[in-house]
Amino acid sequence: MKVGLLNCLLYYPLGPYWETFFRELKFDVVVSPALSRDEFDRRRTRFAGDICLPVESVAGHLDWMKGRVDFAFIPKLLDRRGDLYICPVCAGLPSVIRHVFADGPEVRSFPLTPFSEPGREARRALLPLGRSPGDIRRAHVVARDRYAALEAEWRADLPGRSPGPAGVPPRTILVLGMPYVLGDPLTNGNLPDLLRQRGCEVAMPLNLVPRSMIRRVHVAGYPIYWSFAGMSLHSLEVALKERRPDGVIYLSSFACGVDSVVVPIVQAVCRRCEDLPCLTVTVDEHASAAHVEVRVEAFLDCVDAGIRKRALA
Amino acid sequence: MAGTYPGIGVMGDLVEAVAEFTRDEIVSPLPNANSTLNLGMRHSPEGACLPFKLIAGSLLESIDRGANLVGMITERGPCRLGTYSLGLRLLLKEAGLEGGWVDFDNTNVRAGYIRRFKEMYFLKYDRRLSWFDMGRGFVMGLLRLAFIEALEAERNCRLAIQRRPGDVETCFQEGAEKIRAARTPWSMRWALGKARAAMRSIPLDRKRPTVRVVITGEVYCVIDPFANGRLEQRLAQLGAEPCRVLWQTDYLLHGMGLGRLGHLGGRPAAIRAARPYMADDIGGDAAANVGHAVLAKRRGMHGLVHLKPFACMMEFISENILQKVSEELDFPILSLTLDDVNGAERIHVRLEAFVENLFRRCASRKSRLGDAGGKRP
Repeated sequence: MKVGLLNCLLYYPLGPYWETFFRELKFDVVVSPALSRDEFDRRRTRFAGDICLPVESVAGHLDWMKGRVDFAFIPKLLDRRGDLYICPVCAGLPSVIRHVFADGPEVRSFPLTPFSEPGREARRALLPLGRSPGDIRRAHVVARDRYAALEAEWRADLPGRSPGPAGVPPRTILVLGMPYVLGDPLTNGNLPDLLRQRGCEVAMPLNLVPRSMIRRVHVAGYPIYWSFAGMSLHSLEVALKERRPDGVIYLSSFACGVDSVVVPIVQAVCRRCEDLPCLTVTVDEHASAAHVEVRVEAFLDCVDAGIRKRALA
Repeated sequence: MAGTYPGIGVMGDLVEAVAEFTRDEIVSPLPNANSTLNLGMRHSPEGACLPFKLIAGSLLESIDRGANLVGMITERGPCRLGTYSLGLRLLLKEAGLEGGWVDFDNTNVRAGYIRRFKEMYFLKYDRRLSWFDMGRGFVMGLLRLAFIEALEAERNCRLAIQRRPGDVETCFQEGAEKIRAARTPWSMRWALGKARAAMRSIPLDRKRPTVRVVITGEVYCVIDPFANGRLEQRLAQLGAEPCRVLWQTDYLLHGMGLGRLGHLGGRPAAIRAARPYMADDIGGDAAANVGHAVLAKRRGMHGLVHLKPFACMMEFISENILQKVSEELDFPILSLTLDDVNGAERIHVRLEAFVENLFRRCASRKSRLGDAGGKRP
C-alpha cells in the first residue's frame, strides 16, 4: 500500500520521522518532488482567499499525487495541550483539503509527531489497514530514535566548525523563519545557498535549538503559542547568548499571520543589540531569485561594514 | 490613574459599568474613524490585521487624551489576539509611551478577569475595594450589555422596512442611552421595555419585500461599524434585513462556561452544527462561523455575509469551508475581505450584487414553490 507524503509545510521538520514510521509499518512511502516555480504557477489557486506561499504549494503536491498513492497523509497537529502547536491554517488544512480537493487522492489525517506516542486517532486510521497497536508502537519507537539521531546531526552542523573560503572574512548569518519556509526550495528563494556561496556560515533554528519546537517560549512574560515561532525566537536568544551572529535574516512568507507577530519582535531585539543588522525578506508568488539576491548582497555589504568597524575599534 | 480599553463595539458599556462601581477614572475610547486607522497603521507592523491596527490607533488616541493604564482583552490559543498585548506593548514602548497594562483573559473569564481585577486593585495599585462592589459592577455591566444588544437585535429587524430612514436608529440610540442611565437591573429592564415599545410604534412598510442576511465572520469586523463600513446600515438600505449572530455577551458567557445561554444556543450550538464540515475547532471563530452558516440555512435565512480581515488565519479556513457549505446546502455566501485600504464603494458594489441575487433567487423560488422563504419578524 502506498502512502504519500507532501514535500512541503510540516514535512520539513517532521518528514524524516514520518518516512521512517510508515516504512516500519510496511507501507511504500512516496514523497512528492519539490515543486518548481513553473509547476507551482500551473497548479495553484485552488484555495479561496489570501494565503501564504507554503500553503498554496499544497495544491501542486496533491495534484502530483493523484493516481500515484493509495492515500496522502496530512498531519493533524491541533492538540492544545500537546507538544506541537502550529499555525491555525496548518491545523485546519486537513478539513479544507477534504472539501477543496475532493477530486484528489484520499486524505488521512491524524496527529503524528516524534514527541508523543501515536494516540487513538492514529490507531483508528491504521488498524483498518491491518496494522496492530503493537506495530504502531514499535514503528513509533524506531522512528523517534532515528529522528533524535537526526536532531543531533543538525546540532553538529553548526557554523564555526569549518573555516570559510580564503580571503573572505568569516561571517555567521542567523536565518530565521518557519522551518517549512526555510527548507522548501520553492519558498526560500535559495537564500541559504546564496549565503553559503558568498562565504557565509548559515545558522538556522533547526541547527541551534531543534528541540525548542516543543518548548513554550515566553517573550516579556507573554507565552508564544505557535511552536515554530517560539523556535525562531528561542534560537535568536541562544544565538545572541552563545555566539553572536554577524547578521540576522528573517525569511517570511507574505500574508503569514504568525510572522506578522514574530518579525516585529525579532526586529526589536536586533535593534537593541549594537551593530546587529537585521533583514526581513518577504517571499510570495511573485518573488524572483534576483530580488532575493540583490537584497542579500546589500545586506552582506552592511554586515562587512559592521565587521570592519568592530575590527578598527 | 486613568484607565482605558480598546474600543470594541458596545464593550465600553461593560467597562464603564464596572468603573462606576469601582469608582475608577475611565478615558473612553473615541469611536473609530479614519484618523484612528491612520494612527494605528503608522505604528503597527505591516502584516498586522485590521483589528490590530484599529485597536492600536484607538489606544494611542486614548493615551494621548490622558490615559495611563490600559486594560486589554487577550486569549489563549492560536489566534493572534493572544499576542496583541505583546505587540501593542512593544509598539507603545517604541512610540515612547509607558503606563500600566492589565490583560483580561477572555478564554476563562472567571480566572482571567477576576484574578486580574484582584491583581489590579489589591496588589498593583494598592486600592481597597470590596469583592462585592467588583462583582456587582461586573453583573451590572453584563446586564447592560445584554439589554443593549437585545435592543440592537430589535433595531436590525426594522432597519430595512422603516418608512422614514433614520427613525429606527434614533429610537435605538435614545433607548440605549436610557439603559445606560439606569442604575438597577429593574430600571434597566423597564428602560428596555420602554425602548421596545417606542420601536414598535415606528411606522413600518411591512409589504416591502426583504431578504434576511446573516452577518458572521471575525468578531471585531462584525461588531465594529467602522471596520465593516457600516454593513448593517448598507444592507438595510439595499432592502436586506441584517441578522447578527455574533454578540459580545455570547463571548463573555462562553468564557464563563455558560456558552449555552447565549443567543440561539451560543457558540457550542454553532460548533456542533459545523462538525460535518469541520471536525475540529481550530480556535478563533472558524468553526463557529461554519456552524452559523449551517444554522442560518436551517432557520430559513436567505444568505450570509462572511467578514474577514486580510490575512486572518482562522477565517481563511472558514472561508474555504464555507464555499463547500454554500455549494452543498445551496445557500448564497459572500466573503468580504476587510483591510486598511478598504474602498467603501468596493464593499457597496459587491453587496448590491449579492442582495440583488438573493431577491432574484427568492422570486424564482416563489414562482416555483409559492414560498417566500424566511418569516417576517
